[in-house]
Amino acid sequence: MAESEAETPSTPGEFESKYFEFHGVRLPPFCRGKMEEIANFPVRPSDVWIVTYPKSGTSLLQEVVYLVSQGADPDEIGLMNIDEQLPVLEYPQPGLDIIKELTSPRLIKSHLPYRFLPSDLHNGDSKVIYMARNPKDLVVSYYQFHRSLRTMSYRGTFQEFCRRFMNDKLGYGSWFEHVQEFWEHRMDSNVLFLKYEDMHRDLVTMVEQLARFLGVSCDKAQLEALTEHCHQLVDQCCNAEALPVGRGRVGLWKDIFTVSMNEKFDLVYKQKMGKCDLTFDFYL
Amino acid sequence: MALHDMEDFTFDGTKRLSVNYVKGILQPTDTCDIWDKIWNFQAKPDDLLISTYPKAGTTWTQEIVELIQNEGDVEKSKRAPTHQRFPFLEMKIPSLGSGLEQAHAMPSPRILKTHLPFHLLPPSLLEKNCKIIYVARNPKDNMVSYYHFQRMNKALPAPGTWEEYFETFLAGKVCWGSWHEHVKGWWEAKDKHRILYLFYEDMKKNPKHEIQKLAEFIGKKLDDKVLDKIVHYTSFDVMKQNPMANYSSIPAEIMDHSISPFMRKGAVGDWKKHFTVAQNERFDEDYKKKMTDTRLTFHFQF
Repeated sequence: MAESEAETPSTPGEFESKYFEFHGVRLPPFCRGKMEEIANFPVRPSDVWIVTYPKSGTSLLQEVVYLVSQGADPDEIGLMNIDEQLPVLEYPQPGLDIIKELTSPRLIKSHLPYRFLPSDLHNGDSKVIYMARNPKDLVVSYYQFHRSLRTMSYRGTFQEFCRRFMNDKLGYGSWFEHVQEFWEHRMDSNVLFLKYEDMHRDLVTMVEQLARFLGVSCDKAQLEALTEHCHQLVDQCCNAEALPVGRGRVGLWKDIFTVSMNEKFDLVYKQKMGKCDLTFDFYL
Repeated sequence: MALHDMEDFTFDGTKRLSVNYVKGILQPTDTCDIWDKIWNFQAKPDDLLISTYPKAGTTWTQEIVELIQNEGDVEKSKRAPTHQRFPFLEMKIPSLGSGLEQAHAMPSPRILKTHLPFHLLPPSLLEKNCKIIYVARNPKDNMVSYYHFQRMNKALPAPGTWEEYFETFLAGKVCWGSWHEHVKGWWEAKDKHRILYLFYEDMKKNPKHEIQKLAEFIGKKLDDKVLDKIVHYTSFDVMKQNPMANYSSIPAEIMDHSISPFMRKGAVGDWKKHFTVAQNERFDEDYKKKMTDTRLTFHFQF
């Protein structure tokens, strides 16, 4: 049953203490002491960067990008540890030193806001693919993620978590600022701005966009084969047995948000996204 | 549960009464067993009946009506708890007795209570042209309130999870049947009989106005001072603290107020904290279908 908001306990202090503030943005503990090195991280023209706010469909996007850029078979992707192939810049493993030494072309992921990414990226020195997801589905996914992580040990209610999200009090800071900052750079020649929902709504167009952006030339038949492979990945993501059913589904939030929470969320959304012309599909 | 088992039934805080169907309407089995007696109940012309779907403001209305009849004399209403002052016609609960017996033993004028749908109302009440007050509440708040009531009231079936109960309620598989049929049945009857049809939401929004309406229907002329007194004593906060109105005298084995108090919120729009967006969409779709044949409308929020 949807919990009564009056019954929401306060968030455990241990959860609170896991973050640190960097220039007004709440970041995970493993970013501490690394931010300057990240800003100066050497970027190569052949790099492809995948940047998302957490739980925006990063895993799915990385597989689709890998598929499009490498022309790999989805079955092969299933056999390899793709996370090793696509490291996250700020994570403790494998670490900045190892990422620096990876052979080109590197595929690198990050959840950091635009302004904290390596300054070379701001200068257009390599390709950046950003994917945004509608915030209602995202916050549900982020909550489930926090509940499942032993390191985060989040034991608050969804109401409380959602309130933290609306108040920009989660790891990687404000989702609202994160997406708007990238949206402002969507016209940069080295940036491709994508939406998670389009992967479900119009995968053909997205694969075409990715191929064009990555400079992958393919004829109609190759494009169809690629799209079919990507469809398989999307289906796998949404129906994986080990995961909550439909966790990648668009509109998942409707089963979790109470009407009251939704009204509050809409008010905050309107207030924080008011001047921005970025729009989302909240259901298909 | 077999009949002979029912006679020996004692609440122990875990057991619940069984239920069965009377003319397609779910009722506690004990009620089903005495249905003929209920149907043949003999009304008196000066009986006043308060009818509602469960958890639609019954206790509140009972308190208001009695205070109107007693012209604001609060002490008279403190003589006994609600369930002893107002015979609940179809009730028969082990250790609490029978509403019919209570009614027979009570001197006139009697204020009676029922949750029966109109088509199951004992015909004598209509034949004797009794005054009837019906209170309807918006179905979303009504559902939430009924859910919490079934959690705490062992005389009714366990509701299951909120998600399960949502489906049960929509299907009308709760005691006293479908909310939709209930409110529509009484609405259609209101112009053919002496029925005052009120709305819980109106009573919340403008209690003085609705109490005035009730007083006129009952045939009592009350001055402003008395009306204000009744408004005060029947406010949610006051009634919640009133042991003669808040059902705290019922044994905890039957009503466990620690699970959910009998008087929980009494608000309009509390459903928003319970219904998910998906449930609300599903409810609205279902509501539209089931209420398409009536002009009856409800306020779901202020």
